[in-house]
Amino acid sequence: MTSVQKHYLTLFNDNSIIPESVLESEHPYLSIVSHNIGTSPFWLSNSLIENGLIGTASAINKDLSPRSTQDTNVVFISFLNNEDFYVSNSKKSGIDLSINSNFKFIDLFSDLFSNRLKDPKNASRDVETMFDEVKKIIHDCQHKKRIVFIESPEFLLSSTNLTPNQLVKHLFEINKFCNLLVVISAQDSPQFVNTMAYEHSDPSFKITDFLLKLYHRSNININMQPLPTGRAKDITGCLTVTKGSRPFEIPGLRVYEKEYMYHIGKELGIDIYMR
Amino acid sequence: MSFRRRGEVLNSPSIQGGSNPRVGGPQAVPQRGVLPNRPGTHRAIPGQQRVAVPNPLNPVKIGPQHIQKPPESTSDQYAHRIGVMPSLVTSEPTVSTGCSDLDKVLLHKGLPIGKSILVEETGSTDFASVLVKCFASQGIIHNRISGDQKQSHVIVLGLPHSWANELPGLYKGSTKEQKKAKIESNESKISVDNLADSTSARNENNMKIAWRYGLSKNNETSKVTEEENNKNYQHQFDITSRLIPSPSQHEISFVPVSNVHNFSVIIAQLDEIIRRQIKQSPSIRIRIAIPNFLTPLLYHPSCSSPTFIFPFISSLRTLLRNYSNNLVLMTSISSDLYPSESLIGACLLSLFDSVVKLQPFNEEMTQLIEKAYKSEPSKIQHGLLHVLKIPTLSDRGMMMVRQSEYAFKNGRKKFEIEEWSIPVEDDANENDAQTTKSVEF
Repeated sequence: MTSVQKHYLTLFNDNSIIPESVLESEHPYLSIVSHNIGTSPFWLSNSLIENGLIGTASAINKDLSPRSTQDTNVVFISFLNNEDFYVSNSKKSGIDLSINSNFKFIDLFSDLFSNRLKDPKNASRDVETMFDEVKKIIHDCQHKKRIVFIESPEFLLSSTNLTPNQLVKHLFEINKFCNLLVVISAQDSPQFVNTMAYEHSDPSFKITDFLLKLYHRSNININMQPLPTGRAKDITGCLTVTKGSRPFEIPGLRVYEKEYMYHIGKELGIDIYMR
Repeated sequence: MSFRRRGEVLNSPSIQGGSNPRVGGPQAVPQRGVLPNRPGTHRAIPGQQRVAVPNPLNPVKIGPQHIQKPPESTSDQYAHRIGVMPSLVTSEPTVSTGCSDLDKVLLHKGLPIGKSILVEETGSTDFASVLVKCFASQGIIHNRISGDQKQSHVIVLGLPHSWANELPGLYKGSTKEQKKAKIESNESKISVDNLADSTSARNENNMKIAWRYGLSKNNETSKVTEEENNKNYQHQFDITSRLIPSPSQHEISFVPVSNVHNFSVIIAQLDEIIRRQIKQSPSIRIRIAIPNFLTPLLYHPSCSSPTFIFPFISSLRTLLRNYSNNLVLMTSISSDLYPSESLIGACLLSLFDSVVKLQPFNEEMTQLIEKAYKSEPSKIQHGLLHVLKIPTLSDRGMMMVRQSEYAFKNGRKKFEIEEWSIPVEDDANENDAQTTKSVEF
């Protein structure tokens, strides 16, 4: 019986996940991590956080060595989960986010509708105030190298009267304060992405419009989806890495465009295979 | 010399209040043998716990400051919380949904505390309500097991108080099983007749078992508590019976939704009830049941807007996370009103921790199954159950979607979920009739 060779996940041609050159660059970069039902990107975002903070990614690439200096701030903004969800699960990958001073979690889930956006039908101004606070936190970060993750921002489009242009504007402003902005978004079709929706007030149209505009600005895209043939015991899903519409303005650096298959075990052990 | 009848129950109320006040329970029954802890008797007795003898060379320090507490095991953590067990997958504290098969499908042996489940249903049937009712009944039963401390509370959203009278009662077994249980309960009572049988058997056992096994009596006690907890963890409900006595307002609360346009009003009411209950009993489990969520029959038309639904579900999710040691939520919704293929359906999927979908068979399929199982009507299933999300595991990125792998059937005994396989139609007779002609090869 032949055994399939496992691989380590790399996103760039220098065998890195988040290259040092990206963090040292003056240009802000944008990445989109999209997922479907059944393929939550929790494990990937955990690995990206670990890579951003200390340089390793123990779950997906054991070749990476820790950085000599830990001078990168990672800010995680979530509309779907609280801090406890990420902190408690990060311990399994050997990094305790609760005591890491370079990690900041901005919880926009717990008091979103009880405190921040009390009137979802008329939320534009409150959303602006909320993002101003976020920008200030990012701006006040100790280090100049900054990576910002934002999870499920499209939730604002479906639950409030916010327009896609307003949300895109806020995200681009956040991007100016960091080296890399990673937008984590659901992309099920036709539920979230429906190119046949034309009604401007339709949340499907708003989310489609938002994502399309984001894709026109991104530098690297990672997509995760289940197997088209359905559930398999030894494969969780497919992970596709593609370059975005904007190239990286770093000489010699290019996105390693590949398609992988991956499997998540019960103890969060991740096996990656080249497709 | 005894003047009692052989079948008379010794600790019955008539005797307790009668001429012999010392007889109060099994411990008070006079027994022959060496009395425990009698001064001067230090010999280990088979079947009895060994008493520590003070030794001048190795003095035993007595006092609470010297008693080393053994580390609390996982089973001990849940021992005082009736109806709570560690998850089979993640070890999170978990409660039963009231349907043992659904507990199995969720892989955790129930629903982890602090998590939610959405039951979607297509078509005009209402099987989902059975699950929600069992979920509520299970909470009430847990509360009734321990009389002194409040263990559980149920909050129902959107339905009138009369809904509490429709909750199913415990399944007592078939007539045969009920008779057997009655005999067993009579035998377990302490009567002269039963004692004569049991003491002789017990003494015989004590002689057979080596004395050292007697040392593990403490472990036995904890095992018994664990077993008792396991027994009380999940119950079987008979949907044709009713919970007697009907749940009182101390056990169940109702939050109205009619004429409420603002989600924050409902959330504030829920929060207030939860706070009040937790204040009374900090380890209480609160089950929120939302049957027929967003049905136009109960909810105002403005509630079907995404600006109501998403903030409302998100706020419920916040409540679950804030009270992650106390709350569980079960909601049922019609997939015809909000299909999974729509944006609202997909957003609900991302906001709930677990989602199952009931898809009753259409008429054609029902006829086929009835025909296939005409000799075994108990095997007839009512529809398919699709698993779309599993608590915790789906959030960790595991692919837990299982479409058309399970079938469900709703019966008096219980709501059963089993692995689905297409029934084979038995056409043996017809085939035999066709092959009576001689065939030439």
